[in-house]
Amino acid sequence: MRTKDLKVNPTFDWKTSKDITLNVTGLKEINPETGNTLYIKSSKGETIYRDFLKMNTNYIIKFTVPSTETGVILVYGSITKSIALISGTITFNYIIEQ
Amino acid sequence: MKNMKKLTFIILFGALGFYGKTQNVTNDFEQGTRPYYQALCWQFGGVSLSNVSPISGIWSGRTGSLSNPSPNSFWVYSPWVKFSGSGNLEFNHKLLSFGGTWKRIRVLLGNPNDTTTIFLFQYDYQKPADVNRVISESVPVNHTGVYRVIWNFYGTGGNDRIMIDDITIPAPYWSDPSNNCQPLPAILDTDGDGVPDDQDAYPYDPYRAFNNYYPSSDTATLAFEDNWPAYGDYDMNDLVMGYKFKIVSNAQHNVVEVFNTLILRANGASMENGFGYQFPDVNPGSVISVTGTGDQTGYIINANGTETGNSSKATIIVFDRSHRYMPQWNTIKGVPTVDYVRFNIYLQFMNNGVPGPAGAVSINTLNISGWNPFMVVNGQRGREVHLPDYLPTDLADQSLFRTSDDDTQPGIGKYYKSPNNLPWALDIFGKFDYPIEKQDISGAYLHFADWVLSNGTSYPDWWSNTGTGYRDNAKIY
Repeated sequence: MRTKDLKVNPTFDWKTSKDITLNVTGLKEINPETGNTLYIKSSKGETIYRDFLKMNTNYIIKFTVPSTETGVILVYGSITKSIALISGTITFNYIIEQ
Repeated sequence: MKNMKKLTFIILFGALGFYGKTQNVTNDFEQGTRPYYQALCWQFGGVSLSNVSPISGIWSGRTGSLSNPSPNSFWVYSPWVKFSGSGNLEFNHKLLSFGGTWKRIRVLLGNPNDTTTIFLFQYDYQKPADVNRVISESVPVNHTGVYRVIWNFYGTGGNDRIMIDDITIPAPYWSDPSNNCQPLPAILDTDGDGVPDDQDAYPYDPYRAFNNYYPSSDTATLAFEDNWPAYGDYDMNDLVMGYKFKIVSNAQHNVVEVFNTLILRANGASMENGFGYQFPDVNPGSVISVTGTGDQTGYIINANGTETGNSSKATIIVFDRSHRYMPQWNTIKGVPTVDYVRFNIYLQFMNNGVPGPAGAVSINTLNISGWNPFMVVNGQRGREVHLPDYLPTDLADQSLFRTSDDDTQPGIGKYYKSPNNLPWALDIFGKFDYPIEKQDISGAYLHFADWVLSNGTSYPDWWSNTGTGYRDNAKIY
């Protein structure tokens, strides 16, 4: 089949990557100066994004991953969470469910 | 409002230096969930949160049945705090019933360096006078240094429980929840930008703090067809550009500078094609300077290096015609491959902390994944080719829209796509091995059409998977 003969759905996203919005919820009770670097890593462990976040502050972070990526790993000091990329928006907080 | 207790973290005075704010640490248990307080470095041993007969508000801490004389049976540890030699520790408590022999609450200070403690306070409940009576304590703490407050609850006999609530510790918070709740270390921040040295990519530079990369590894690839607005041969190699960005930002998350590496890999075209890009959310006046571009003959460039005529969106012209830099096409097998041509573009957004005239640009405003690259066909400035559904620049010749095979319809957000919704450019999130000259991409990448026709659900790895059945290597350069 020739490419020019393809009939493509008008909603098809030609990108081979996907944009993700990460909402970080801070803990207002924390010392305002307490912070650490948040690493967003691919499922293979490659760092996608890094930034210094203060724990008492909310943040919105945008990053991009290949379309084939199914999850990311968020590392903030001793806190590590794996999050599936089910939609274009994910959330992170510092609370570890017991 | 009963649940509108005092704020958990009360700032009494202004800043006294790094970590030096005078604050109280409080706990009113009103979040109603232990993990929340554990995230704040409170610890509980046999103490739960209860909304049955709370001392105030909706929730209080409540011990299990106090039938063990060991003081370590039930306990609450506060986060590490830093006492400054004065102040009163305040809290409320009550004994819910008194069926046993004796019941006691004890308060200590715990030391971060060893297991020693400092006795502060002890109370033995009176029977029956103290049953269900809220008792308010105000315990002087005249110690200096980093400690945590320890409450022990113990006694013998019966099925009696103690509740605790409304804790105020007269000291600033000194735990690091991101470091297993250890006490805050001594912070070394040489450049004083608020980012500790060990987390600062530029510890001696107050104007820079972080490096970020897009894409995160390797380079991504842009592949263009240059016959727009007519269909071409779909070999997607008329202009092949690798790209990568390094973004330097400061402690306030503002962009300081951008290092953009562009690699001209192929120009399988007889036409003289140029290349540029736009940051859709960045005002040209926010850019202080642009260096590293190639020849820009035929373009009008502002003093800061952005293109004139795009008044609201910073636009960079990288080169005017690719063959000036790469005489060979790099698309025909058997013809010697010439070296890739690298352009190291540098964009300055802040100079010693001072942004461009239009103001600072945050990382989110730069929106690097939303950059808008385009090819300029054969030196005709208005004949831009963009990625599908990306907007033209102000200098695009919109009279070309909906001519030949183009079906751009701004009213529905459709740009640079054909009536069948085919594009003239692809953005591959990695290194792309492009097809040889005049080889349709659908013949070179055997699941490209499957990916397209499945609306992206099948074979999203059509371009990266080198396994059997994915490629016809004879048709790939």
